[in-house]
Amino acid sequence: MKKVFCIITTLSLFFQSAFGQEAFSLRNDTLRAARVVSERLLMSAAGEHIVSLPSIRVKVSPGGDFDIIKQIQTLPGVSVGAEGSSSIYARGGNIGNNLITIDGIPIYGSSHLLGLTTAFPSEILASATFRLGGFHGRDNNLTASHIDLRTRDGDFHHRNISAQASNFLLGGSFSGPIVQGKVSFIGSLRLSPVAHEYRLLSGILPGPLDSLRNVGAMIYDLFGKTTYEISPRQRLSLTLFHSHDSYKYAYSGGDHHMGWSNFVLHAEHSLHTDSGWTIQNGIAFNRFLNRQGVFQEMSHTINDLSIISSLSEISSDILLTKSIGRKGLFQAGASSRVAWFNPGSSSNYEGVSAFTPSSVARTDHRSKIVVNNINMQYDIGSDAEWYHLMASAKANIILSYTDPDGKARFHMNPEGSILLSVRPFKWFALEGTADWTVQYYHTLEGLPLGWSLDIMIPADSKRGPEKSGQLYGGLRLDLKKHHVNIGAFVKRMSGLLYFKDASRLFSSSLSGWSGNLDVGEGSSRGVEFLYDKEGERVQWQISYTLSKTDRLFPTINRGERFPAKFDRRHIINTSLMGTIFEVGSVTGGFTFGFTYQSGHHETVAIGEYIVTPPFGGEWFSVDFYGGTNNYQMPHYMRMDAGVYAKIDSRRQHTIKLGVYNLLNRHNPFTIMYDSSAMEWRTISLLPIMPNFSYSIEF
Amino acid sequence: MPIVVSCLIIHNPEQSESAQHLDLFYAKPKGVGENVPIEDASVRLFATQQQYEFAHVGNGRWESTVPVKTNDLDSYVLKIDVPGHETITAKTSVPHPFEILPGTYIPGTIVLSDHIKNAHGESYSPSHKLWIFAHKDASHNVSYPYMITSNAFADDFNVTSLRFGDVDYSAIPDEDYASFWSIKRAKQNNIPEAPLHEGGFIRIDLPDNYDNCLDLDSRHGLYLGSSSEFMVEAAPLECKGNRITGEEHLCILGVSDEYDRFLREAFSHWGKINHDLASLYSYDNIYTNIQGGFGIFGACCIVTMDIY
Repeated sequence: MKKVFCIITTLSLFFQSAFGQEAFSLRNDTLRAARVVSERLLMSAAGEHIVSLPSIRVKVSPGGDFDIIKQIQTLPGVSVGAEGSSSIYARGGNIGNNLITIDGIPIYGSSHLLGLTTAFPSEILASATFRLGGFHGRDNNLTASHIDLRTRDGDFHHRNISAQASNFLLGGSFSGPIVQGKVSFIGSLRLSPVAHEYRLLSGILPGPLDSLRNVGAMIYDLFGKTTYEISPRQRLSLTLFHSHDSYKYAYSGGDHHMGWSNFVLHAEHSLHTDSGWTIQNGIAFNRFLNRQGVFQEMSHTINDLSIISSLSEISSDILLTKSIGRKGLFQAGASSRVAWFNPGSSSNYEGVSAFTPSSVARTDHRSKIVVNNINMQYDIGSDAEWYHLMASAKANIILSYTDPDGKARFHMNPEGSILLSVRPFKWFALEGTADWTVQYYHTLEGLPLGWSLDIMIPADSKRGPEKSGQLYGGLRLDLKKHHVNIGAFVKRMSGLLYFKDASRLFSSSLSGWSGNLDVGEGSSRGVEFLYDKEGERVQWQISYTLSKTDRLFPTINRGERFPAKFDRRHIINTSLMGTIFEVGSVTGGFTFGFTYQSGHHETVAIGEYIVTPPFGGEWFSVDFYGGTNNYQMPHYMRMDAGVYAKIDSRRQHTIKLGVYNLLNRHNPFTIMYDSSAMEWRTISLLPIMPNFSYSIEF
Repeated sequence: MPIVVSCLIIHNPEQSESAQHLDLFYAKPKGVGENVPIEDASVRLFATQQQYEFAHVGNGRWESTVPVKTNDLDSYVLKIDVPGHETITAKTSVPHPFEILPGTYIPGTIVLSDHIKNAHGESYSPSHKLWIFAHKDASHNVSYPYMITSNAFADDFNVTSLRFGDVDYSAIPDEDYASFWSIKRAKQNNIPEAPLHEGGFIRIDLPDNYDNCLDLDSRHGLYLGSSSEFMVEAAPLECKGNRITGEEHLCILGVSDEYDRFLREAFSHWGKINHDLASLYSYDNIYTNIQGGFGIFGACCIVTMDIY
C-alpha cells in the first residue's frame, strides 16, 4: 500500500489543471428534437443524459484536463470507486459493464495518469451522451451504461489552432481545411511531463517520496481525423486514435513496470439517398494492450518478465435509417466483430526444458470470438412531442473458439430495450425504460482505481455471457428554468464474474487466473433525483441517489448475499456555475462543487487463528471475517471551488484557478491492519489540491 | 470466539496404525493476545467400524487413546463437544494410495505410476492433487525455502518472479562445485528459466483443471506414466559458506479434496498479507470443512523419497 500511496500522493502534489479550452459552441444533441436552451449543465430524458461539454470545461478536476468521466460521476445512479479515479459503477453494475465508445468504437483502456483523467482530449469531442437505460439498437456488449462520445469533424473553411498547458498535460490541437470546403482535418496531441516533474519534486521534497526511485513515465494521446465531403449527401472519414500510459519505478529491490495502450483505426462512410434512406457503414481495427512485470537480471542480461493481456478486434458495421411519416424513425443495422484475446499470458516459461513437451504452452490463454449482431430500432414521437416511444431489438450470434479443443461453439443472445415517455402537460412527463442486455466480454477487476490493468476475457462454455434486466419509471418536471427528474429503478444481473484471487494481478502467478473465477449474480434497486436550473449567469445541478446493491456467489461468503463493494446508500452531488462579470472582452466566473457519499464496503478481519503446515514449516496466522464487505467505511465528503477568466480578443485566452478538496478532508479509501504497530489504519488518497491551467486559441 | 480444529489423518501403507493428533484452540481477536487452547472437551473420531476417544496432552493438543488404524478410502467423522458451544462435526475420506517411482529415462526425475493395485488387488489409475515438500534432512523438520519443477501441471499460485538461475552459488567452494548436483542437473535439464515456487512446496493439480491447449487424453498421458517423468528440485537460494550435501528429502502427499482446498487457500492468504498491493483486496474466509468452527479435518496418503 505504501507504493500506491506514494504514487498517488506524488501526483497529487502537483498543481492540477482544470480543463483545456472552450473551443466551440456546437452542440450535437443525440436526443431527437431535444430542446437546446440557453445554458444548461446537461439535458436529461428517460435513461439518458447529454452532457454540455462547454459548460463543464471550467469545472475543477484532480486529473488535469477536461474529464467527461468526472462529470458523469456526479449524475444520479452512478457510484464512484476510489477518490479521483475514473471508475464508474452505474446502477449496481461493475466497472467492466460500462461501454465507452468513440464514434461507435469501444475504448477499453480509457484512463490516463493512473486513473486521474481520461485518455480522450476535449478538443476532439462534439458530444457526450451517458445512457443508463433505453439503449439503442447499435449499443452493444454492455449491461450497465453507455458513454457515447462523438468526435467533431475538422472545420472545412477555417483554421483553428489551440494549445494548452497544465502541470500534468501539455497539448495542442488543429482543425482546418486541407481542401477548402471538401476535405478537413482535426488532430490533437497531448503529452505528460509528470516524470520530469516527479524528479524535480523528489529533489525538493525528499522523505515521503523516497520509497520510489528511478521513476519514469511516458503518457500521451494522439488523435487525427480526416473527413472528405464527397458531396452534400456523402461523406467519408478516416480516424486514428492512440493513447499510451507506461510507468516504471524501482521499489524494494526490484525494477517494476506497468502500462496500457489503445490503438484505433476507423473508416466511416455515410450516404443520404434520394429515397430518404441514410446509410452509414464503417470498418475498424481496435487493439488494447496492458502489461505489468519486473526487469530481472539473469545470466548477465536484463530479462523482461511480463504479464501481458491483449485484445484485438476487427469490426465492420452498417446502419440504415429512414424517417417514417412525420414523427417516426426506423433504423436497421448489422455488425460483425472478430476479437482475439490473449489475457494474462506470461513470458515466465521461455526456454522449454527436456521435460516439458514443446506442444504445451503453460500460460497460453489465446482465444477468438466472432460476434455478429443484427439490430433494429423504431422511434416515434420525441421529447418535444407529447409522447415518445422507442423500441430496439437485437440478436447477437456468437461463435466462440475458446475451448481447448479449438472447436467453435455457437451461442445466440437476444436483447431489447423499450423507452416510453408521455407528456400530458407541457411541464410534466411520465417516462420509463425496460432493458434486457447481454455482455460477452468479462473484465476481471483489480483495484478500483481506474487503472486500465484489468484483464478481459471472452464468455465461453464455462463462463457464459453476463446478462441484465432493468426497469425504470419516473417523472419529469420542466418548470421554465427549473428541471426535475425523479425515478426509481430495479435491476437483476446474472453471469457476473468474481475474481477470487485478484491479488494475482500483481504477481507472477497472474497467468493462472483461470482457476480463480466464480460465477454469480447481483441485484440493485434505487431512487434517483436530479434537479438542474438553467440560466444565463448561474446554473445549478443537484443529484441524489438512494440505492442498494448486492452480490451472490456460490463460493464467496458461504454462498450468502453480501453488499457490493461500492454499494453507497446515499450519494449527493451539487454543482454551481456562474458568471461574475463581463467587461468588454473579458468574462469572469466561478465553479463550485460539493459531494457527500455514504462509505463503501471493505472486508475486515475480526480475528485470526494459526495454521500449521504439514511436515515442518513455521505456523502462520490467517484472518477470519464476519462476512464479505462486512465493514462500511466512513462517509465521503468533498468540496471543490474554482474561478476562471476568458479573454476573447484576437486570440482567446482562458485562465483557470481551482482547489480540489477545499476542506482537505482525508477521505478514507481503505482500512488495513498494521501488524508491526498492532493497530488498524485508514488510508486516504487525495488531499487538498490547488490547480491551474492556461489555454490559447487562435 | 470461534473454535479452530486442526486434524490430519495420514495414511502411510508402511505404517497403518499410529496415534492420531488433533489441535483444538479458540481463535483470537486480531493482534491481541495468544491463542487459547481448549482443554475441556469431548473429542471422538468415528471410523467405519470403530470409535476412538481423544485425551488432552497439553497446550491444545489432543491424542487418540489408542492407535488409529487407517485404510485406503476409509471415511472418518469427527465430533467435538466443547461446553457452551454447539457440537462441532467434520468428515473426510482417505484418498487412494499412489506410487512415486524414480524416473528411468533421465536421472534425477520422478514419475507418478500410472496404475497400481489397491488393498483388494484391483488396478486403478491414481488421480490425486499432490503436494510435494522438500526438506533438508530425514526428520522432515527443516524445509527448503524454494522449489522448482518441470511438471506440466504445477500450480502457479505460489510462483515468484525469481528463476532457478537466480540461486546464488557464488559461495560454493570450488572443490564442491563439481559435485553440486543441483547445478549439474539444472544444466542437464536446461531449465535455468524455471520459476521458483515459494513456501517450500509445489502443488501438482489434476490435468482436468488445466487449460493448456492440449486435449484431455494428452493431458492425462502427461500426468501419469513413463512419458511424464518430471523433475523436482529444492533451491537453497543462498549457500554462503555452508557445505552443500545435496540431500533432498521429499514428502509427497496425495490429499483429500477438502485438505487440498484448505492448504491452497491458507498459503494464498499467507502470500498476500505482506504484499503492499495485494493486501488491498477483499478477502473471504479460507475454506473450512468444520461445521460450527474453523480449521480443517483432512486426510492424505504419504510417500517419502530421498534424493541425493
